[in-house]
Amino acid sequence: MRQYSGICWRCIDGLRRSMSGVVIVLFCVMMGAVLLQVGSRYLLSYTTAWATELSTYCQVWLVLLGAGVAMARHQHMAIDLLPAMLPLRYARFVSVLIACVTMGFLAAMAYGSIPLIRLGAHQVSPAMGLPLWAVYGCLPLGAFYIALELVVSVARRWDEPFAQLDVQAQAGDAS
Amino acid sequence: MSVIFACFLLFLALGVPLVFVLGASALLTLLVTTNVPVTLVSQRVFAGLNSFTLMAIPFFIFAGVIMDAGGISRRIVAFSSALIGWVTGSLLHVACVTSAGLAAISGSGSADVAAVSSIMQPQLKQRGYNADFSAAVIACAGSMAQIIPPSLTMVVIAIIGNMSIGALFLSGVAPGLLCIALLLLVSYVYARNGGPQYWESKPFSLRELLRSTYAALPAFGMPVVIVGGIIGGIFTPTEAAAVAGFYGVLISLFIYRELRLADLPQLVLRSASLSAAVMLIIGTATVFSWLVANANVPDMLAAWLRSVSDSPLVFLLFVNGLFLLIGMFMETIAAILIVAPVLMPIAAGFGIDPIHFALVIVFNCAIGTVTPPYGICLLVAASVAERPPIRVWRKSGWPIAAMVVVLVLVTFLPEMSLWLPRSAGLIR
Repeated sequence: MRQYSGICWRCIDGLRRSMSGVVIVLFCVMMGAVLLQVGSRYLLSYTTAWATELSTYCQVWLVLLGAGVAMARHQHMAIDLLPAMLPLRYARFVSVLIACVTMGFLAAMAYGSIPLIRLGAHQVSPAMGLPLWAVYGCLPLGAFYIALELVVSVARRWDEPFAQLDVQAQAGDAS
Repeated sequence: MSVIFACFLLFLALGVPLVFVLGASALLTLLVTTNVPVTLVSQRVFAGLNSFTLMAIPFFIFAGVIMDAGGISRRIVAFSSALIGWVTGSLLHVACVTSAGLAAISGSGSADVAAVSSIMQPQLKQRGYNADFSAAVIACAGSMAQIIPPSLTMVVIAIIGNMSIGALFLSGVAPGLLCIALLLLVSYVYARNGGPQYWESKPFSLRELLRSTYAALPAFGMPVVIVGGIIGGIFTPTEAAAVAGFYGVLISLFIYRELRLADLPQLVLRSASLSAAVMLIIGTATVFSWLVANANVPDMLAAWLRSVSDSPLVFLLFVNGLFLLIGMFMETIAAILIVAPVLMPIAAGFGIDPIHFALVIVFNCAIGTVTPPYGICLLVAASVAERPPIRVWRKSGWPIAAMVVVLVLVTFLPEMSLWLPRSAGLIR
């Protein structure tokens, strides 16, 4: 993998750290809200609809931002047996092509969220009264961050686009 | 319809990450064949993730990460070793029993395989066990994490089929344990004929067993919280998963003292990114399955199946064949999200119990994780053992045969999976 230095890469590194921080906080809030819900139901016999809502919205944000972190860690599973057999020139071409397909989807997801955010400007969530545009905002933001990490990953792996990465990095996925 | 599957196969072969294969092929189909606005994509992704029940997944993943980092896995290995380490081929048996124990804590086969392999491999190497066969056994035993509750796959299929997660969890207990038992048998036969390195084993000691049971006791609290809490109606599955994760953190910090508070952020980040990778697949697969449903595939398939045969058994055989094939190439959850909604109404039409049907599908998916070319459990086991996957695959015939035997039993004997949830009063 290539190592780069310079202002641009330091910015990316900073962004990555702050995104990781945000993701950690989101996970903790999500877990805290669910535990609070259990605790308050049994100890205070007091139901907390807002905790369900808060944790669910944290989950959506967590997935969209965490997917960018997962991209940086190469945890998105792909079957790259075939392109790995290509000579470097074509392998580079395919890695760019893959990035284009992915970006196409991400762009559509971000573009498609504009009407949702517009609609959400006039809506609030049922339990907490949170403006819904803030909830839908994770779609374009997440798409942007995933795309950024994708570009970084293509650049980093430019000399070996389909080098075998550690399979154990993927261990712990759903299967 | 052909557009979506052509795109799907093309992108998949190209090496696009599966999560975006699903999204991009659905998007292209949407643009080419319908007038539905692109907003549908964003809206479906959001709707797919906006689910409190689904939140069991990140929490179960977190519990699995903690289990490995906090010394819980090691206690369970020590316990299994005291329990069964005196039998010929001891290390293989210890690996199987440990896998069953870890499966009751974590819901992910590949996480279990990674945990068991990393602890057992050094000993397996030192004692001269066949590395390929051992890796194959560990992969198969680890894949039972999807069958022995809790299970991430079961959470997903229960949400799609709108059935009780608790009932589905319980239905996997008997088949999962039976499969582990058969794997023990396969290992024993292999070890008997394998050579002197398998015969050496330490004598059974009741003191050692009691000592290791005592040490593992706090760890056994995790499955009690999860299964007991859900079955007893104390927690919803999501809450049980969160409580189990929290409990795991507490015992790792204060009882086992193998975890430092400073390690937690990295473990949380690891769980979060693994969860995100799994759950974004759920988001994009939701778009994909919406299109499949929109194109009337379930009705067409049902009509075709009925024209072939009216027998539920033939249908179940067809489903087994289909899922074994899909399981070779696809990630489990994506396969379930796309295919299960199509097949479930048909199964109901044949009068097959939904819990039984779901278990058949999940079992097929578990086998899919140990078959090439994309079998994540097999790949992880081979990678930790530092062996080429193809070598491990060549040695995996008997262990996989054991799984197939249980699959056949599960398919044709609904009672095997249904009696436990029924006697717990979760289904009629």
